[in-house]
Amino acid sequence: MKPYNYIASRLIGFVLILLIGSIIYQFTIYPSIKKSEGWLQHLAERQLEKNAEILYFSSSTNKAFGPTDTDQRSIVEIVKNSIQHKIVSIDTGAIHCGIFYEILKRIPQNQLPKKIIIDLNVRSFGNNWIHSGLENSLQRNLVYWNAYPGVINHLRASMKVYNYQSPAEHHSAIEYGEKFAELPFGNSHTTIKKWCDSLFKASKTPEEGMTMIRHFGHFIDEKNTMLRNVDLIVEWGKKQHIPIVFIILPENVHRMEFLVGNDLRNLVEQNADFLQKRYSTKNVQVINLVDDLDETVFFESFPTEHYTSVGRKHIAQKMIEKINSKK
Amino acid sequence: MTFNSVQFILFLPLALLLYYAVNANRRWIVLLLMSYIFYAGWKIEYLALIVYSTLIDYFIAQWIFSTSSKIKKRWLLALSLVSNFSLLILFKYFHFLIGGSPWFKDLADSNETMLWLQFVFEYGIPVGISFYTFQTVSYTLDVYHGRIEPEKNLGKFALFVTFFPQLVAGPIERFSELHPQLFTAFKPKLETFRLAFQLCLYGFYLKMVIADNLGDIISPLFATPASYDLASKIISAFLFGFQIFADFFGYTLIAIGVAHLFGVRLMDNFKSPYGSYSLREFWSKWHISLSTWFRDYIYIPLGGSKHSRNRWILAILLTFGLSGLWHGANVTYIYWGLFHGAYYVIEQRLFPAPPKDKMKFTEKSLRWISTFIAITFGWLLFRVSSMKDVSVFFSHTGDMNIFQSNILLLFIPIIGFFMLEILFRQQRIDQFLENKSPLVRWSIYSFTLISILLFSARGDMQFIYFQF
Repeated sequence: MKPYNYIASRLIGFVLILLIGSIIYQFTIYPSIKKSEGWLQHLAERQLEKNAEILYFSSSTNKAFGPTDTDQRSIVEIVKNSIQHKIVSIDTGAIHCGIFYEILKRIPQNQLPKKIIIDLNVRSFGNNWIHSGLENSLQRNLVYWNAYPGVINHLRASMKVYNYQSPAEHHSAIEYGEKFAELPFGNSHTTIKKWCDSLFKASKTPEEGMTMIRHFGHFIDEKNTMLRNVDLIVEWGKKQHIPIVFIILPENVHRMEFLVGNDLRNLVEQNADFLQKRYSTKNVQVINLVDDLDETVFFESFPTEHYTSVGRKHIAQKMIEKINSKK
Repeated sequence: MTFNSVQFILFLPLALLLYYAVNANRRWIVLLLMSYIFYAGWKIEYLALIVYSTLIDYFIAQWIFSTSSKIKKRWLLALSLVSNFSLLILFKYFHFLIGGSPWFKDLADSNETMLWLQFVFEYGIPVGISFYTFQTVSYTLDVYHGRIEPEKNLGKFALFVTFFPQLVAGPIERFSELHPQLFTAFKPKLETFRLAFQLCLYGFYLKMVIADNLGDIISPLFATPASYDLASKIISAFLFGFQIFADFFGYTLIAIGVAHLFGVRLMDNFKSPYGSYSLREFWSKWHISLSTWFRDYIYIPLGGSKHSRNRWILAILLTFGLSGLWHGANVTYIYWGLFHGAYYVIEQRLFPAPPKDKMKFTEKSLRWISTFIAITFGWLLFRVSSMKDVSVFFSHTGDMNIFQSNILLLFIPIIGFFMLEILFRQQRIDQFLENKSPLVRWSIYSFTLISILLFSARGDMQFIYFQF
């Protein structure tokens, strides 16, 4: 056999194997894989099918945590009962504006809502969230959200054809931020590491305070990578003529002040102000609730943006006011 | 760029195209360029280290060769060893030896430069540093001992150090074996591509289907061993043995297959190691390029078996201990090495294995079982994060088990792996497929290809040996 014929016959053989494998996969294994790996798509599609007028993007903060909470309703459920419009939420843990934008891009034209409300979480602009180990799972989820054959999606996921960061890369990015990202203080708190070290020396029980510093001790400026995602959402809203409302979530600033001192509280408030000003000037409505709530409405096991029913009702009330206002 | 990445799948045809497009006597330049691009694909800053290592050994080897003074030769060799190993120590063992100590932490806290240095050295181990360091050190040692003549062309020597198929995880090749092949005129045949295809296909199958799926199954258990029942732990220890084998053997087969496309035959690194009847036999079949390196450059210079019994024991323990340390900057690796060393000494002194043909079935079975259990226990030391985890592994048990999730489907390719390995009867896949009917060949191709398509893991697993 001539070499060309030899190669051609083998190639045809492999294409056939690929095709047969692909068909077997598509109808046998892929549906269950897509169900487990593509849960984000399922969640979004299930909610979008309801054709709501208002779409609320949130994270785990939307929900109740703990059986002791008297009212187990989520924020969106509280809102639902007090407005004339139909509202649904898309929420899951560790989600952020980058994923919200990916979901927005994929909404079919006939399911577009009339208004979109999005939680902005000051913590999600920090290194600890941006380089979270949970990010790979979210990014891999998006791999399955398209019309490609299952085999292609499977290979893309197994060959990590997505925004993948290895655990070592996550770790070194966070460590670099903690050691070298400068904070706008004239005192010794010029980096997260120095701040944590000084707290460690000064306090007998520094752990919670150090956790707070690690999660909130960042300075949001124009170089922040999460800002680009928020900008993309704003641009998308303008292009689709859909008004966007950002809610800057309440943080446990009183607890921060108690544990760490004024600096962290000021930094969190400064970051929230920055976000509010930046997006207000882009004609986006921003509700800044960062210091609206006192310590008692935050869950102890989640010292930051996870609330008791009192906290959730407060956020819901602010949302209701905004939805019902003519603006 | 890892072998199982889209970047590599695009990189390889481009490298081949360029390689075959140029005149035969200039192909090495293309290969050198592509090797640097391949390495820069990990982190461009790591290039500085490999260039440094190349320059040091190139010049020192020239000086060693040109001088007749034995003392001068010795000093030059010492300079090469210090340069190479200090780089390795700084980037691989810095945290283990210095960075983690309280006095250095205090120093780094009070000094910005030290803090920066600490971050640089703990930034992540430069990929392949242990492999190319050992390869260049063996070159200088061989020049020193007069076994080889040094390469005069810096570029050609650089290619010996950086040849991309074996750069990041071996096999660790000797200059006398690898270097001549890189510059021999080579005309590819259909057979070349078939062999490369067979090796790569089976390599990808071992890595993406077997190793990564096993890794996904057992990683949660090794992260929180106290939560799992004892049966799961024991099974996981065995499964890790197969994971690491499939991972590293898979990588090696791909490396050998890719090297074939450039006319280079790399050495075999594995020869069915789990079929061994003694630890001695295991080490002649597992990571052969590293074990022969330690034999030739550590064990034999330490005296080998030519001196007293105590000195032999010391040489064995030191060789295995250093081999453990080579694998990683953690005390668990040293214990792993020492465990192998101690078992090796006991086995050789008290129960030396007779030739295989003189062993009866019962003896063979007992030796195989005891060797396999010892290797598995060794893997447990290798896999845990700290020695404390070993006691947790056996003392604390929970009620979770590794079979809670729906993983039974994955056992189809895993059982397939065992069947193939038995079928191959200690041969490499290409040797087994040679002279086999098209039906057998295509059945194996179809099984492995469909397994890769349908069952490759989606988790976070990387090549285990890349971290070394």
